[in-house]
Amino acid sequence: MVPNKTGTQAVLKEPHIQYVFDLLKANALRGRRVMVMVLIRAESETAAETASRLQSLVRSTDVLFETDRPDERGVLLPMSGTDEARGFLNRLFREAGEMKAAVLEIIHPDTELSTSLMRMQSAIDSEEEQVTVLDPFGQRPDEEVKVSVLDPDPLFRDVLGKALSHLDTPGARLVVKTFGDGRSFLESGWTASAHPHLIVMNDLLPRQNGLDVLHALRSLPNDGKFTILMMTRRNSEEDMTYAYESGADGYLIKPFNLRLFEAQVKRLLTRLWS
Amino acid sequence: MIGVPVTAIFIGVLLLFLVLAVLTVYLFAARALQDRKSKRAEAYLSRNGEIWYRVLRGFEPAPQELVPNDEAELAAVEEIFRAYLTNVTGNGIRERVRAFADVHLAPFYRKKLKSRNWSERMNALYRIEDFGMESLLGDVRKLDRKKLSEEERFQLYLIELQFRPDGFMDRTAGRLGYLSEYESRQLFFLMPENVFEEAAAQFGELDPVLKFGLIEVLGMQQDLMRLPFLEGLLDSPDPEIRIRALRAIDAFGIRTPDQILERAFDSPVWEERFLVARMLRRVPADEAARYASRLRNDPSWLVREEIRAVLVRQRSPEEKSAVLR
Repeated sequence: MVPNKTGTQAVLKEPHIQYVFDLLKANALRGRRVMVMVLIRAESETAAETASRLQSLVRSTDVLFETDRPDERGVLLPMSGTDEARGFLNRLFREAGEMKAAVLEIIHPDTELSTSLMRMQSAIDSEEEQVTVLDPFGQRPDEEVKVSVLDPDPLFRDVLGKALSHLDTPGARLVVKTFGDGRSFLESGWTASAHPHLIVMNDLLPRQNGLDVLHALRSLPNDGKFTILMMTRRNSEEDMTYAYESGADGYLIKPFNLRLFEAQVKRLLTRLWS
Repeated sequence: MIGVPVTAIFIGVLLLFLVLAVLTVYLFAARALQDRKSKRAEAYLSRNGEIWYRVLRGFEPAPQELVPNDEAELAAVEEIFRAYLTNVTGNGIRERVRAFADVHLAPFYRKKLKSRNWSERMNALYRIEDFGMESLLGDVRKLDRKKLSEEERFQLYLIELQFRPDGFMDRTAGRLGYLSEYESRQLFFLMPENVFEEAAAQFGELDPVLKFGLIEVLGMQQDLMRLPFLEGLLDSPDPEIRIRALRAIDAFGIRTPDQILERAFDSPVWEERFLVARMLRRVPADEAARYASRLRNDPSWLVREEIRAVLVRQRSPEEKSAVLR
């Protein structure tokens, strides 16, 4: 069915909305983002009026759709969360007065459109609140994050490996490997992956130096997946500037505080789901 | 021609073979012993690496099984402590190492301090300092009465400084004259603030090597609060002190005060004039040119070259090439 165009924004119907929903959901979740679905029921105005009003508020990337009820309109806000949905509804209510609405965050790939719509409709029917925010379906799936520790000292490598393995990182499952030199790391095939990859690397390494490894990683096609923390004993501004310019994301001056290191890593991993 | 009986040659060769055989057996035995020691150390590390991690992070107290039973296991514990102390800080790791070493490792090192082998004693002294084993301070002080090498004695002072910093200079200043300049600098670097102050207050009575070490450390620290102290040293009758003080002031990397420049320009010592010429790099161009004119015909070639370099640096590109010609 051809989307029903009113104004500038298409209002999608079944089965197109099913296809678009799946596409946007996959896209958002692959980028470790969330998507939010808003269902609005306007009993005091016609569906066309509501659609027209929504068209003036949504972004070009948002999607309007119809449901099986003539007084309902839905909006998919990709790369947005509950806060953005609330902001959107506030703007709508300022213009059109209060309506009943339900908000659902899509965080799991198994979330289905029809089931979600039914949950939202029954929430609108049963809840007295103007806006109902539903619990999302399922838990956010854990992201596998590769972690590589490169240091010539086997005992210290082991210490960092243990610290990272014991780290509590909600939403991320760390797979830690340690390497004693740069070349064995680059030749291991461990870097050829689409998973996020945290690399904690000493600047001085046997066989292939840390800065050489840094250059090699940044020239790989998947360099956007790497977060690289350099470790050094030389507290030299020049070395640090050079490393940052070459693509390092952080610097640790040895000896460093292990808890501070863990906090830094946790913070970096939290950003994966920003 | 000297006649050597064939029997004597035969016995000589036989003896030589015997010595070689004994040496070979000794080397193989030593190697086997070393291998056995390494294996025991590796076994200790793989058995206890995880437990040590939890203990040193403060997640659990040290169980009895971590206490080393022999030299091989002691070497493994030393390696673990070294890996932690040189790479990570904070959260009581150093204190936990200290507490464990003081109770469980001290008997090993006490024995090593009495060894006739210099390297064993030296290693024990290094470990006492690294792991902060204060319980061995008494044994270390007893060692002070014996005939020791200069390296051992220096290590004793570092240990004394670590555990009993108060009054360190009063107790030891008179005995530190044999130190090398490197050792002297190391000593001042490790000094807590109050001991350093104490040393600076006694500057006049210190041995020359300590004076030089203190001045150089002041230059490296670049603490502007100490600049007046260094300026005061420029009045010293000893040219070496004045030269080193000027070098330390230069290391601050700031524009040198005019009175320091003025005084050093007229010095009969070429090194002072050379240093002050170098300081002109951080003086505004017009003032530098005025000062430089006073040293342009200096008897020292190095001073003249430095002045020329200052003038070249401050001229425009066209003028630069003219000077270089």
